[in-house]
Amino acid sequence: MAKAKGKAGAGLFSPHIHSPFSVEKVMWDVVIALIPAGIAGVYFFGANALRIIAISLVTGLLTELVMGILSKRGITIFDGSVVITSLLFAYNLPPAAPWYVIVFGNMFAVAIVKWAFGGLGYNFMNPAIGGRLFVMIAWSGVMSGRWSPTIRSFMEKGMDFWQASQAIVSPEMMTSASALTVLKIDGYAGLYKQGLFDYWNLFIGNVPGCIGETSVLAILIGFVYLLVRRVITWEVPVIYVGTVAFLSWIFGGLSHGTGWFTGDALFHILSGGLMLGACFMANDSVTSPLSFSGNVFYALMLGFLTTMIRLFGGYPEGVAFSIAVMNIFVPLIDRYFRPSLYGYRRAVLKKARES
Amino acid sequence: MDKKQKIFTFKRGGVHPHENKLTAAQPIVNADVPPLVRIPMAQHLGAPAKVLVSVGDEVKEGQRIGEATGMISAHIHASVSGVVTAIEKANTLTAKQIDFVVIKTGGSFHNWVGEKFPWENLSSQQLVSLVQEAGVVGLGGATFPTHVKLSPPPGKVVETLILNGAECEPYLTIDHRMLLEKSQEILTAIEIVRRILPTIKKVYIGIEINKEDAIDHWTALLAGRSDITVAPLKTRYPQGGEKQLIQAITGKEVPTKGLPADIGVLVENVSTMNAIYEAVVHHKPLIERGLTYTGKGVAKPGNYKVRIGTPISHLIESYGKPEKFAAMISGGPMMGLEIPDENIPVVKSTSGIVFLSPQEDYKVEDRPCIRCAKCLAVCPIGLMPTELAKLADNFLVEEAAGIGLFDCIECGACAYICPSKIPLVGLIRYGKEFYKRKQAQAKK
Repeated sequence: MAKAKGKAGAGLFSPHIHSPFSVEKVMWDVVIALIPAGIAGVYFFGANALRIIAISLVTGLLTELVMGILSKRGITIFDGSVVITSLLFAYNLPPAAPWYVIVFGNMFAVAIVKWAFGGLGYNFMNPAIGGRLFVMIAWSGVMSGRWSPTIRSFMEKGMDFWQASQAIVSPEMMTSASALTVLKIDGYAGLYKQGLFDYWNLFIGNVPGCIGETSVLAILIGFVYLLVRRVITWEVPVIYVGTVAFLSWIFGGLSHGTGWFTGDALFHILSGGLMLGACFMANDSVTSPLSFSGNVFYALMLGFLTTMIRLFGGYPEGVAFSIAVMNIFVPLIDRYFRPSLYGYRRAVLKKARES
Repeated sequence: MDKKQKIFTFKRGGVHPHENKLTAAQPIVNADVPPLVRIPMAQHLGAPAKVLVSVGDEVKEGQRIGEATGMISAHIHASVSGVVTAIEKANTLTAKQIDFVVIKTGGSFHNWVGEKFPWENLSSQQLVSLVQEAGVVGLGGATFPTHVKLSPPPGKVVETLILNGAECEPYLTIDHRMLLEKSQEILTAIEIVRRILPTIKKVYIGIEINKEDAIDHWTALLAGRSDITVAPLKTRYPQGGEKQLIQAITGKEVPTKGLPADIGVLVENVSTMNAIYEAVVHHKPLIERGLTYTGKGVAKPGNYKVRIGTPISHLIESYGKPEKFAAMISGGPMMGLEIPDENIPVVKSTSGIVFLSPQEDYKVEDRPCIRCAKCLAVCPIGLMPTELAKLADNFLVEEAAGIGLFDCIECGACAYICPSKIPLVGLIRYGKEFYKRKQAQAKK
């Protein structure tokens, strides 16, 4: 008996059957897809990653519970969306992030960015991105200047998992910078000196960075899973990453004095938060455009903004900023990029008038 | 079916629900004649018919009891012989306060098939009036009066006739059986339609590939003929929608707010073709129709030929109903209408009676839209169902009309796929009604 409350409930209506496809299935599928990146984070950054993920999850679930009850929506923690937000927010933090950054950042993400605007489906910006920007501005020292090396190098020296986890967050170790920071400051020469210029390490994630964003391999596993499960479509991640690669190749060499068309595209797409942002945050359904053409435009603009901030901006990393900016443009994109309608082609209409 | 045959399909969107064609192998059998029939005067698109009989009259099977009023309307005939016991106002599934003629069955049956009338020498005008006389309407569910369809407006040249045997709705199998059992009749009907519209050059028979036996049967039947072709269609809902079928087979699009005749196409359902044959060759009015009585847990599911006006309660007595069911649907589960009470009679548009179990019944949850864009991906028209529903929900119907509100064919693919179970079709339909009301008030 299909009876709806409100306007649609004016009468009985079709259809009378429904596909086995629900919000929960979508959300928990994304959670499953995020697991490999989490495992990679623990593998490379040790117990710190576990600590960050756990604190973030507890904070997120509690905030969601409180906000859901305050907003009279009941208990909404089981739809999985807050788990995604908490995981993504945790993945966007450096291994040495103190507890207050995690707690207040995630509270801001869930309570302000998501619930203050109406809860699931109404957030104007990806909550995890909102949280990340908030902590980047509020505790910028913690978020940008203190990168730890991975625990792998310490474990090779004979330390066990716990000792290595302790070692990488000790103050004397937190001087090493992320690959993009070094590139920004010292150019490629600096990268060679620090031993960060290694495509394989960049691909598997054995480089300093945020806990969930360094391992391109783990992110790609989750991405392929989501594609197979038909939860996401290919266009935003592929076009976003493709645009960054293309533009980095064109302009990448300019700031290092090697001229046009000499940029290292592969280095740019393997480093920083680009893969995590493209595969899990830029294409978050709530804050990305609806139509295919809109998504193509959105992804092109994301790639353009990210490259510009990375190469010529004040920050070494531009993924979070560009996603936040483009999220705000989404309602406008939806207005101007619509699918073409059946029976509206000019030729069709013209022929109809003539006959 | 030949593996090399080209498979046609419409260009965009669509879904693939469970087919559940439980009764595909059941031949069409005649249902019992009920002791009492209730015949509503509104069984077609357009103005309701005017009652011609009064209480106490004796009527004969096939006698006209309702006269078409206005341009788009159709005659109604008595489906049994007997006595008119009442003329009452009641609601049908689609209209409120309609005249019903109640006939108590008695008297003799008429053997329609016994006599054949020659039609080869009749003019197209005479053939159309035979169809009109018989009150034939589109039996696919839209119930557009067929004689209107067969007389396209001047200046429109119909070159292509498409027979709709797609039957993309889950559960329904009556058109499938028609294709198998009434092939000679349908072939004759094709000749009749070509006599009416001599400009027709090409005839296609669209059949979804889940009905392989029907495709094989027709391929064999049409061997060596080039003017009539079988077009195998991909099993994808709404393949049987008129606009989608035309796009699948001819590649052309019907212009918005236009008719298939604008691009020289005529689409007829295969059951309608059979009705055209009966009207012209046997002078038999549309007094019964085939329907699929089905559902999980039904005692005797099958394809039955039922007299128009048979109360559904009578069918339930004969063929049983599941102990527990969530909804009783007239038509298919994707576009059909829920039957609120068992006294509602079978009408010309009832292509099936489907009982849905509680597990498969659609329950609205109406949770917030997560903008997953699945509804855009499955819309065969290319609308943004979520936007339309939001606009309708906020009474912004002019803006909705500007982005194609009235192009929606209400196929239900969007609401079927929506993970938040938002009643998109219900909201869009509400928006349409609200817009029409608003326009009507503006005129006053």
